[in-house]
Amino acid sequence: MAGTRDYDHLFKLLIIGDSGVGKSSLLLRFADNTFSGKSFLDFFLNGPIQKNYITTIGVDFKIRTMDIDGQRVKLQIWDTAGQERFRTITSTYYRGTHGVVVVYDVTNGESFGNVKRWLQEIENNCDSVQKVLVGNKCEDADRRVVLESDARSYAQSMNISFFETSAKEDKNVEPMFTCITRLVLTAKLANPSAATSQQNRSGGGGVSLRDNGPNTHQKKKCKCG
Amino acid sequence: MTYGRYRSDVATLYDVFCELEAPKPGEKLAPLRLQYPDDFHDPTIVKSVQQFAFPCQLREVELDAVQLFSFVLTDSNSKFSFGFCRYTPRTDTCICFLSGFFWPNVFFKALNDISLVIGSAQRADVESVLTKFYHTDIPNIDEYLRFADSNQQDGHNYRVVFAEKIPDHTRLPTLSSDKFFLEFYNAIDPPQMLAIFASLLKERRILFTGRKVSTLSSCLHAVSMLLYPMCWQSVFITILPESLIDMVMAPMPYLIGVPKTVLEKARLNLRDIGEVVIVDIDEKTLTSPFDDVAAMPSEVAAFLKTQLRGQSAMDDTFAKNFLRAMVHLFGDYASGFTGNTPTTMTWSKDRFLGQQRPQFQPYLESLLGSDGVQYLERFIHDRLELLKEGHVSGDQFEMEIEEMDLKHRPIKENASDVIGVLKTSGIQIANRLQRLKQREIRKAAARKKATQNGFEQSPMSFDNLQWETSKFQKSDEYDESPMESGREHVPVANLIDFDEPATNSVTGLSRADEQFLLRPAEHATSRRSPLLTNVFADPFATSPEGPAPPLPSRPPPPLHARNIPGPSNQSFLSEGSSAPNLLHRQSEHQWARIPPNPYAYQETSRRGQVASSSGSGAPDWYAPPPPPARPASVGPSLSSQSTSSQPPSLPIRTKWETFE
Repeated sequence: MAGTRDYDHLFKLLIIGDSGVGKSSLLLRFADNTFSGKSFLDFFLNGPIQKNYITTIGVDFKIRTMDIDGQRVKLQIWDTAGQERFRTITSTYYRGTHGVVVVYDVTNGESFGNVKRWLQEIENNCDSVQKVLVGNKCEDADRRVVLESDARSYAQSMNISFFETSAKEDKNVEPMFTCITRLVLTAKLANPSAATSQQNRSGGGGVSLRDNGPNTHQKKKCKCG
Repeated sequence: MTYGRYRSDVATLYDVFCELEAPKPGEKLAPLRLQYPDDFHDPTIVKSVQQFAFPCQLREVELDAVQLFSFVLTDSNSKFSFGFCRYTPRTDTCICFLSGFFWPNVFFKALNDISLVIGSAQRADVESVLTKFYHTDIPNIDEYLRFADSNQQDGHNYRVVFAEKIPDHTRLPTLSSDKFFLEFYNAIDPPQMLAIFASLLKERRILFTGRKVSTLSSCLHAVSMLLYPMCWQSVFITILPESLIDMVMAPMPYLIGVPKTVLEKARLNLRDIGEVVIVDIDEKTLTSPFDDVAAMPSEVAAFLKTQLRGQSAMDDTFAKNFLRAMVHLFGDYASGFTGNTPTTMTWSKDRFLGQQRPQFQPYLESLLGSDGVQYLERFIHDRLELLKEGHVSGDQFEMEIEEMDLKHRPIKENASDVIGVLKTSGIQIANRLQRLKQREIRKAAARKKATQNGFEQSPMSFDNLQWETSKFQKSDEYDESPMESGREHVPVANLIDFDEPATNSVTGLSRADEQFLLRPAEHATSRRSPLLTNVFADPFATSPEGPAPPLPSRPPPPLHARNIPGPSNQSFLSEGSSAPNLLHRQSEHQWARIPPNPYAYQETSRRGQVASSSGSGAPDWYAPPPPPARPASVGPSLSSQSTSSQPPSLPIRTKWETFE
């Protein structure tokens, strides 16, 4: 987090989906190119993988830098615990992000149902956020309950990209993250002052809290006392 | 706020206790000196404690004074565990309890006492105290947690005796008794308070910073409670350790407290953090990219401005100001309910918005749509679920709504009186049943645990003391209950089980200590240091003649009331009823207060009478199980609440009306 930047863009993505759909596996695969077999087994034996993942403060993220068309893009992919308790994830949750990766488990119909509801909310209230729909665990053909064709036509009707992935067998994970990154980048380049590009509104770099630099004038400052 | 995110799996008073040394420069985790239980099942949690109990080099911050602060851990289900810490600059060590109970007064008191034992006695003694404390039976809300352990023989030299009241988080915090609220009130100026509240309502990313970790963590706790009865649903970190500083870049709403030294060292790039509201407690500044106060309906902002500026009372008026603002904004939420039967009941945003005053509509619409906030979604969802089960909450929020309704419509129709009666009696019954049920469950759990631990004896228990309350319930209007008859003559001393599990065999609990526990107040005034005197405002210590405050008691938060079948599984909604809040069931909250104005007081007493008569007539929806042998400690709270439950003095009312 030093002042100098080794990237052209910093994008914050959110990954949402029920616990146990493999969000953390996707992140591990993407950021570290690993798959934690133990936790996967744990999932079948003891329930959601999440148990071993976000433990201390209910939020965590993974970082990776990608190169898209010669631009260095630093991706932070954020995950929070306990989203499944919300019927609707309201729009403030997406306010600071550039893109959302919406994950369901092809072997779990309920997780697909939740995803539909959440996507509807994004569609209604956060239209400037880029999104991609992901059906994970596609390697598990025997237990599949959500048909690829169904999900694909749903994604088409919502006009969003769709991928079926397998974090376990490293199938489609990289293309999926590249896709959402490209979407976000394109959106940013097309409309640099878009509301979601928070970076354009909060001023320049290298400002520490105690600085009274040139950027503070953009903020409302109420000094009281 | 936090009550909605309490853990439901709490079996012991605390999860783990740690004594930690300051980490050496470059070390991420503070070295452990002592851990109890030493076989605590989850090493990652202990690691978190090592991180959070020394969020930074505390000695750089504070050289002289002991610091009491509290951190919060969030588990994978988004439930909270609370770390209560005491840092001693002299030894540069920190001791910490991690617990599922949000009982700051209890744990800070215990920490103070244990620090004395650590300072003067042997390690075995410390472990003895910790063991005994660990196995202390968990009291109900509003009861006292009584603890005693001492040994002054053969080179041992320690004595720990205290009694602390278990706080009821469904009541509004008072400045005189809530450490967190008081520190917040002292640290933050009214204009910032208003701005913080406004940003909280908009579910912003809010970062607090300050040099003293105690003030910082207190402010975070207090701020999170301002949304009552709603709950902050997003990221909540009262103290962020240095090693986790990158978390301030999280894109979703958050409330995070960052020690000033951590923030300075991190030299964060503001551009990477994004749009964040920053509250600097030391400088008393608030910087924000948004003007959330201007976005609020102007009456609400004006009301809060006036009230906060004039605030000086040490009771719950301070918290009530915010509650009233919440009532003004969301008090009419029930108008959004549609559907004829509980099962088909839904909440319609449009229906709700259509019935709001025009000047409120844009704001509420944004909170329900383009700026959709999770706390409101959750609140409506929870109330709808309650309603579908045939109940309505009876918390302070609902009481305030009623009170304001009374002001607007001073003459209630007859039907309303009936509703009131049903409400009162319904809640009363629910209270009784729930408490019985929960208690049984917990007892069973405790028994199971004791056997698992190899204890044949039952864990230490001051349980029975609660029967004593029945003596003092006479002033309680609900006291027509026959439940506790027959228990009144049991001498108190016999009810305390001092036959202890193995750990206590060496204890030299003196006669005086026993006395102290039974009559702490008298004891304190007569013999102990003046420090102890005000600690024990003990209802048990008052004479039977003196009407002690009735203690509305409530099951502890961990066992969620909703999981427990209430008395009223049948649908309460009479056909064609236009009022969904016909009946109240206590879920997480306590209906235990007489509405403040004299008019309402009469009305309630009248309701109370009708309620008791209808109770004896046993309406068919009330099929009581054998009466629980517990005091019906439901009743108007006259104790700490009394000041606020007084008929509001004229000036306050005038202010309120001008606000109208």
